Amino acid sequence: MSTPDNNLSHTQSYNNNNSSGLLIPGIYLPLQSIGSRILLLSGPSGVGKTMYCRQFLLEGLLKGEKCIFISTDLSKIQFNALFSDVENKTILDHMDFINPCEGTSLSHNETEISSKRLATIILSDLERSLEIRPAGETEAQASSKQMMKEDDEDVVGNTSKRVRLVIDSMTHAQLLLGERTLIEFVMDLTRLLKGLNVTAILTLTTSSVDQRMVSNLSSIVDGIIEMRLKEDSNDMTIRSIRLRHLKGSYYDPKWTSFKISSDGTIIFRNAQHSSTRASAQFTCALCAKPILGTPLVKSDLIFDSKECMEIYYRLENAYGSKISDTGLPSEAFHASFFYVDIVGLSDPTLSVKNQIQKIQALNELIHSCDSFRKTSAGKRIILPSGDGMAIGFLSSSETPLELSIQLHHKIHAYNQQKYTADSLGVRIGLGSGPVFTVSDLNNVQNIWGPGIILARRVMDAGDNGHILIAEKLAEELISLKDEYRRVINLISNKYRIKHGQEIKLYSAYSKDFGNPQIPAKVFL
Amino acid sequence: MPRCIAFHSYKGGTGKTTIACNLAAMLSLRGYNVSLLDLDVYAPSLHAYFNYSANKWINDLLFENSDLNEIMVDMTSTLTKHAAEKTDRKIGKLLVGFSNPQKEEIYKLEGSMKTANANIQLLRRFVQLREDLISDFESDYVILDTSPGIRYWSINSLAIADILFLTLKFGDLDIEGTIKMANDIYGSFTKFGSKSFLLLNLVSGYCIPRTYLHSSQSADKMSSSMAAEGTAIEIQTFQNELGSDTFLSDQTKMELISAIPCYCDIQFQKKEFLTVLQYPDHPFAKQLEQLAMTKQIGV
Repeated sequence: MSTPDNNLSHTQSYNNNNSSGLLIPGIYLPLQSIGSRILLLSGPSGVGKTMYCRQFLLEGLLKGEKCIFISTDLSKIQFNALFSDVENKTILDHMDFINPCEGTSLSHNETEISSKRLATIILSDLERSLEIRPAGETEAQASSKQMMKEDDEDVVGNTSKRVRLVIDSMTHAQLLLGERTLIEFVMDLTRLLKGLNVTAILTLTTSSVDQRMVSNLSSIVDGIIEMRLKEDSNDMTIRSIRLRHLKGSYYDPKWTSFKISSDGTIIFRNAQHSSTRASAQFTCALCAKPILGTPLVKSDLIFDSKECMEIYYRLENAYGSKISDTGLPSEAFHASFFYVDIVGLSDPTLSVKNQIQKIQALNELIHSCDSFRKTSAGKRIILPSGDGMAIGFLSSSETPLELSIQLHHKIHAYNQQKYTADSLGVRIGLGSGPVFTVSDLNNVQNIWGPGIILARRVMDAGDNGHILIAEKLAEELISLKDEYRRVINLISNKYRIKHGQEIKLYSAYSKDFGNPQIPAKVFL
Repeated sequence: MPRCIAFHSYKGGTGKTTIACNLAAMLSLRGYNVSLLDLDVYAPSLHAYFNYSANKWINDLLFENSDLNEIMVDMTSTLTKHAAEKTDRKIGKLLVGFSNPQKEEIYKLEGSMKTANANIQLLRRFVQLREDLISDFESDYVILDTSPGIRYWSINSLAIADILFLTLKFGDLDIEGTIKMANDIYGSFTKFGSKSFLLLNLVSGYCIPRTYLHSSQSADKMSSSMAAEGTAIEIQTFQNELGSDTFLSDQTKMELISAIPCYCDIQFQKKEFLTVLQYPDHPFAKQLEQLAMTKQIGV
């Protein structure tokens, strides 16, 4: 097995950077502040749990981390054989091997008290290895120091130093300790490691039908790693691994295949899990993988490759405002808004039937406008508001005003055929600005942001027949065409909207559309 | 450089699957590793084309019930089995991923589109599929047989491809729909690195009754009017059908990459199967060869 010699600088940054995540073979553990993590590695017999632990420890040794291997069934000779292929034997000096059964008088047929004693011996040996309890120190002395640790972490144990711990296997330990004592042992272990910086892997042999022990321990440990064994159509054995659960973190539980080479090295299909790469702090907006190289940043999104960035933007462009339906994060986008509501719809003298007719009439009239029909569904966002609606246009800043003028013409024609009580009156507010796509409680796509809020505030200022336009959109339109310059008029230099914000307010009108009167709220 | 090629159309029945399978076989025969995916998830057909009953499907991969190793079926032996001419050249691997035609699986794929969280998991595995085929399976070409029209999985398929072939069929061609679709969504892909091209299939007026499928020996007896044998046919003009030979290119803003004539012996046979292997001198095979040699595919 090759052992890179020049690890020092990498190790240094790795250990000092507690804000970054930890890369263990095939798995990225998201960032966590200092503290231990106990992971249960479960899988069938022969899947490679011990070899995985071997790699986990070797990668720690290469980073200069302290490593501890605890086994109740492996002898010292067998342990040495496990690491016999390692070229640079000096790194093994930083690893402790603990087998409490070697050198003790315990035998497999002892009573429950012996089981507890065995568990205590394992924890005592571990404390010594972690330098919490020096050799020869009594339990009382250790306990006293443990209490002091709460006040001064530097006194007992080196909490800043990363330690890797393996207990292989819990299945064999269960035979010696019994199920109840084993669970108590794991609980004691979590207490012991609390406040230290230990990543521990406890192996457990499971079958597809017996997951009881995994279930029991899952509430005690911080995460569960699963391994599985399959055969492909060519009778080749395929091993794979995934992080199924990690407390306090979202993690995509994706299986990653791996092979075990003749020298015991675990080789993952995805080479990016190599320990020689820097640990990641960001995940790709498209594939959600940790970014191990230089991230590509565009707008407020981060990608791990050009391919991911291109695929994201193809999807984003194709789905338009529906991008949030895919679950992909969306960036802010610019839209021009048409906000309309029916004036006097909540008048208590109006029957519900009349109210519904008016809402339906407004919907039909809007749908019949050319500017609405000619805008493809992907380039517009419709948000019903009960007595009206907001329509966001992604294509052109002119469309909201075109729609307003066309709607006024349609309403004029509609009202000529109706009695006064049935006639339709609307007020319209236009604005533009950035918005974000979000999914609401029903997972329906929705938008929110200054663009739509401004259109609403502007509309609220109007009376029947008004087409009011917020400053930025109005000035953009005025600079665009002379015909807009003729119909868009400044009506207030400092119109105060909610939260004390002051804006310039414009009104669009001519003899065919709009309302030339100053709105009552502006006049006041 | 590995390429991901998607065959797409506005409507079904344009010949996407036939062209995709034949191109995949041709590229493999020329030594390239090819992965062919049935992404027509709403109406899968590759399993029927290859007459293969898969144990694991692309659907299983998307729902994390299987690995890529399990869903990609090595069909390389099919190439040598059906090739009319033995070749000493090294044949590339032809791996095929099948889509599950069971209605429950199709519903499931559609039914999962309920929450953004469920969607993103599927989409990410889908994106990873392309990456794994290139990086882990060392595919030189990934060929996608997509669903027609603008649907969730056809958009996703087009988004992961480098080269898009918008396939049109003459006859019942819905030109207006195709042009609208091209203008609505293809710009979204080409704006960010993809290349899109028009591919005309089943072009009328070149139909030559042949007997290839009954007796390849009888090909020698064909009349001299069948001068197209062994060469690609040059498509003259589409003025009769479309009013202008550049009408479609102008309207869709896409270059016409190839026009494949309609061949009765292929069109009306019970089942076409890898014509490029079985009848390498067939004009259809030659036409595909010409397509493969365009700089876009790069053989």
